[in-house]
Amino acid sequence: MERTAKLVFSSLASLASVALVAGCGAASGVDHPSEQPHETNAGDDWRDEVIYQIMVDRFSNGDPNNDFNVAPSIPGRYHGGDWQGIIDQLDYLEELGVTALWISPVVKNTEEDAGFASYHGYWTQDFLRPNPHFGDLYKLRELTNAAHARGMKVILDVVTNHVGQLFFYDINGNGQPDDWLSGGGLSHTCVQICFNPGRASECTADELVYCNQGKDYLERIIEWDPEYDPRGVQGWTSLGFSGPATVRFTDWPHINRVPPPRPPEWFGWPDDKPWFDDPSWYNRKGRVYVWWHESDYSREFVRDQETTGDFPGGLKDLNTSNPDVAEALTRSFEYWIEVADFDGFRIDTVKHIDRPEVQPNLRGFWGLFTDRMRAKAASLGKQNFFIFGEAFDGNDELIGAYTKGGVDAEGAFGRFDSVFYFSQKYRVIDNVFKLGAPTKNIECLYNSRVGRNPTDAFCQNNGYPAGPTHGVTPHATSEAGGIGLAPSQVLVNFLDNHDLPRFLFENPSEGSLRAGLFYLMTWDGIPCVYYGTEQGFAGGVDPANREDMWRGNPALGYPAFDTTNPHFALVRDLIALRKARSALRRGTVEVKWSTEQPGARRDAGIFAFERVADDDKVLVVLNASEQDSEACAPVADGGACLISTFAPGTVLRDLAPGSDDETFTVGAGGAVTVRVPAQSARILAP
Amino acid sequence: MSVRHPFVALSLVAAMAASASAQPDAPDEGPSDPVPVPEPVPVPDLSAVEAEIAALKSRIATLESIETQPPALVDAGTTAGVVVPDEATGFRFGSYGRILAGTDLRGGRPEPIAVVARGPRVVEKSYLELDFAYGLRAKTGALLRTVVTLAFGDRIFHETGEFDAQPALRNFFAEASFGSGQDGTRLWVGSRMYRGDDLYLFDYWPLDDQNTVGAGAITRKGAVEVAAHAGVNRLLDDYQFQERDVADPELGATTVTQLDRQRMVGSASATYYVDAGPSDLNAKVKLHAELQGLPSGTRLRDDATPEALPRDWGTTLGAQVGVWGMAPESDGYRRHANLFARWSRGLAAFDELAPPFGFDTTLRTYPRASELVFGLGANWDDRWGHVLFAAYGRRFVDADPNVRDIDDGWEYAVDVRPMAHVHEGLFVGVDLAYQARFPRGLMPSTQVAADPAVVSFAPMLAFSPMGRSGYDRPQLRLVYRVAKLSDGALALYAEDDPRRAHPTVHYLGAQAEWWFNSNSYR
Repeated sequence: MERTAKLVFSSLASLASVALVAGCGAASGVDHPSEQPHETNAGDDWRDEVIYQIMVDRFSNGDPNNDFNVAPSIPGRYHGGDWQGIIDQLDYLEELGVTALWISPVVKNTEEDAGFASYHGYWTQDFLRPNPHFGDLYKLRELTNAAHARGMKVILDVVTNHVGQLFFYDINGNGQPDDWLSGGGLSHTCVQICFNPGRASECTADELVYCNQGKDYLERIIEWDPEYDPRGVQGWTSLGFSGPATVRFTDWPHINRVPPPRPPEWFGWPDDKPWFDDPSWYNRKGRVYVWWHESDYSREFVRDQETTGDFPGGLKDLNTSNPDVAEALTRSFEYWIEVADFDGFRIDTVKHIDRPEVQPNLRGFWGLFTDRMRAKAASLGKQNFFIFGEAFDGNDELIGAYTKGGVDAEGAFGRFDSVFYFSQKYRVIDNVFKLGAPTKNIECLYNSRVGRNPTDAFCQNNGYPAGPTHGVTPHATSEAGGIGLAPSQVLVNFLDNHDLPRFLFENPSEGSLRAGLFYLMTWDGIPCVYYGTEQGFAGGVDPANREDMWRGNPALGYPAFDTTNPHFALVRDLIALRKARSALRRGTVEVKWSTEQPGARRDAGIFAFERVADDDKVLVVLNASEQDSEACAPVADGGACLISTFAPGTVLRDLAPGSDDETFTVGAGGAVTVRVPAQSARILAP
Repeated sequence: MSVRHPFVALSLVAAMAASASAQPDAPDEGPSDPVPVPEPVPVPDLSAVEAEIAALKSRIATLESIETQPPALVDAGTTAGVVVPDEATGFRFGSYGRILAGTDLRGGRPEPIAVVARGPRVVEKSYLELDFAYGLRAKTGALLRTVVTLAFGDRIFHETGEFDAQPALRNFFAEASFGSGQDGTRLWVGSRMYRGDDLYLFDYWPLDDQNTVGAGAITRKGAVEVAAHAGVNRLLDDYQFQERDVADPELGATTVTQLDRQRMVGSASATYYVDAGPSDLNAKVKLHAELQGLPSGTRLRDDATPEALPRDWGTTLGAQVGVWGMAPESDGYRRHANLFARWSRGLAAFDELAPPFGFDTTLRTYPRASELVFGLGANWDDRWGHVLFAAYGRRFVDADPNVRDIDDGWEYAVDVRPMAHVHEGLFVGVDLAYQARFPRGLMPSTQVAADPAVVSFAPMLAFSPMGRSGYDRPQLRLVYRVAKLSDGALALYAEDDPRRAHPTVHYLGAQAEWWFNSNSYR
């Protein structure tokens, strides 16, 4: 019996051993996303792309498991959109025709501040970990892989200027973040310095303006977000100054407002080097306030605040002139290229770092960062890595300065391949297409951009610089990770975005939107469509302009992701036309008609231009006005019409969506007489 | 009456019989004067004694057939229909308890280490069950029994200084038994730990482990036993239950139930026994199935927007092969082995006492979530001591759409505890254990892949005077355990968790474990 029992037991032990061995064989064998192959993008041309901006939290909710802290009825809170949701809607995006997806930031954020949540992604807490609200690294890589499989590129939104609300300035030294420090009148700088006879000489003229303007406003100081002080935020009490205010990082793990953790071992950051939890890595000068009275201050004062001040909302400004800070940021985003295979970066708050408009040959942070990103892409076999920035400013020369390279002792360096064309947004999209300003503004702005030296009175009188305002040479070849194109050729054009009211919110006009879309899709540069434009979204300022895509457009009766409505059809058809005509994507620009006069006249709102590529030529005649117009002068002015470069007798067909293929024959001397309906366009080609 | 009493009785009777049947030896004397022949001594009639001995042996054999089955919950359906002697009536107190005292050699409290679902229990939290039962015999012969088990966690006054030990009602049911011998039927209603056989070294019931409020029936006829049960639970988590305040029709607020979803759990099992007697190889084959269901409901988010929770399901199919006996009844050995296999989907892939996670896009677990478990538990008692053994392998996949998911993957654990008997009630041995997990995703703290693993070595001295079996209790132990955590195991801790800095974890302490008349262990 005992022998039988032992036999039974030894059999079972053998069975267990087999199971264990099998279990050993069940090792995870997990491959890291960075080990997956990278898309080369060889031979691509960014002028062929149509960018689609996605606010991830608001686009599509594909995974309910990451829906923590979700409050869908509150605009300023997380709503549940994620990377899986974008994957689920790639069919929709493919049908729309967009070719590059710009997704909101992916890094882990502070969770919330003052009742608002970090759904937008711009409040970084950890540069090296993904935001768990949207997914994990595998899901992010799955998104880029799925997009690449459909021939789409993915652009990452990058923030390097600031982090989230990670610390406060302990001005009064009581160890807690006070929302109200009484200054007994004016704030510390004004009382202690500017109005102090013994120290008044230390006060600049700009600071004196500030102090005189502030008055009651400066009664209250918030330790989260004190006003900018060029000396750095000072500690003080009623007895006077106590030196630089202590920086206190919060330890609120339930809302992730904790110091950024040290990087993992694989990052290779020396243990004895500081990290983002070190106060010295921040400028600690307090919040920018000049924007509301900008014209009262000197340009130097304004720019100093912009580049070293905290961003409103308690977002702490990083000291990017510190080599360690620059290196940490650079390596962090090299990592993101490798792990997620992004095809480009859209960089936030560009004008808040470096001042290339006055120091073009100072490499600074951008000179280092952009070149390193290109090199990293090239090392992974990626070509045409596109780096464009958001310089939120209407000053054409300022934003253009960020697209020009420089030369220092180490040699030549590059900067941004492109920027958002903010100057165009204000002077063309808003002024011309929404407010009816003369279309001559479009021509002036273009001439400034490419340096055609606009010497006519209109351009001069309206403050258009001589130019070229934007870089005219590529920063790097495609093989070296660059895009091989000059910035002036690839500015990113947009009608609106997440920081601006939607086009249809102010002065809402479907006609002006239509005209604006015609311009966006036929003009040179890269068009960028903010999600929901194709669904007729009309929200106001943030957060109203960050609507949930999955709710459709109830005001217009559109269901979610509707592909049958006229907005979707127009955007889709315009993109399709742009894709079909190389001239519209890569052609040179030759302005053929513009008007300097506002108001009703024969050519009101007309702007005509030719786009010429090696194998294609298109004549675009836009009408931004609310009347039907012709590309001809009023009779009283001679009545001359547009002269094209098409040969006389050429029959031009209107390719514009909804045009019924109407045709126009080129007259003698290349004259083209074309009547354009209000807020529409003729897109003419043989 | 303890089943060990018959041994004593038998020994006494045997001694009596032996003495009664013994004949005195004749003295060794040489030739001498004639000795008068003594009167013949009448031979006593021992037939009655022998008959009583035979009856006792038969009764002992019957009772020991229960004793030598695999250690199991007496009332869980593996044994049934036994006509319990009248000793089953009246009040009965039992207990299962374990208490640990010790240090991690860093001045801190020792903690269990588990990177798998069920880790080795050489260091585990203290726990106490108090069993109270009362039996009544009806005139029809049916036995009615009420059972209440209070359970206490490891909030111990002498450790914390707080009077905050809060009991849980783990058993709270009534049961009626009908039948005679092994055949019979039991019906029960109430809250019950309704479980089969376990892997002792992991404190894990791999096949059937229901914790519900419900009812069930167990019936045995000959070699076949069939059991079924249906029960519910409703966790106080907003996955199943949510209350909110609404305006009272008159003044103030009143609390209403917004979400009320009871999980329905139904199970059925069939067991075939091969009873060969305690000294031989006994065996059983058990098939087990479960069906779980959760109705739909609506809960409110923090912003008062409704969130629909859909209906969900769970299924389980499992089997067990067990052997036991293989030892003379007089030895008091409890040799057994059980092999388990279980395949679950949906809700049944999760612990029913915790809300599930990793839902699919419709907020369901069925059918994508799954769990596959293989388990082996054994005990071999011998004159030199005993060896306890347990091993399991488990593959879990949740329902979410992520293919690369840290929640998914294989895991396994193995634990062996050989103990050598060195002196009366004194054992020396060691607990050797290994546990490892192979998640399919990246570690959140490091963003790299790693396989958590822990190996532990625990020499121990045990005082277990009730017998040489690995299942004899009470038992007092002196234990030193050293555990080595892999980098993957350390990466499971949060970045600011001080435990991340200690890949080697110690425990030195004393333990006590007991069970008697317990509904959880025998």
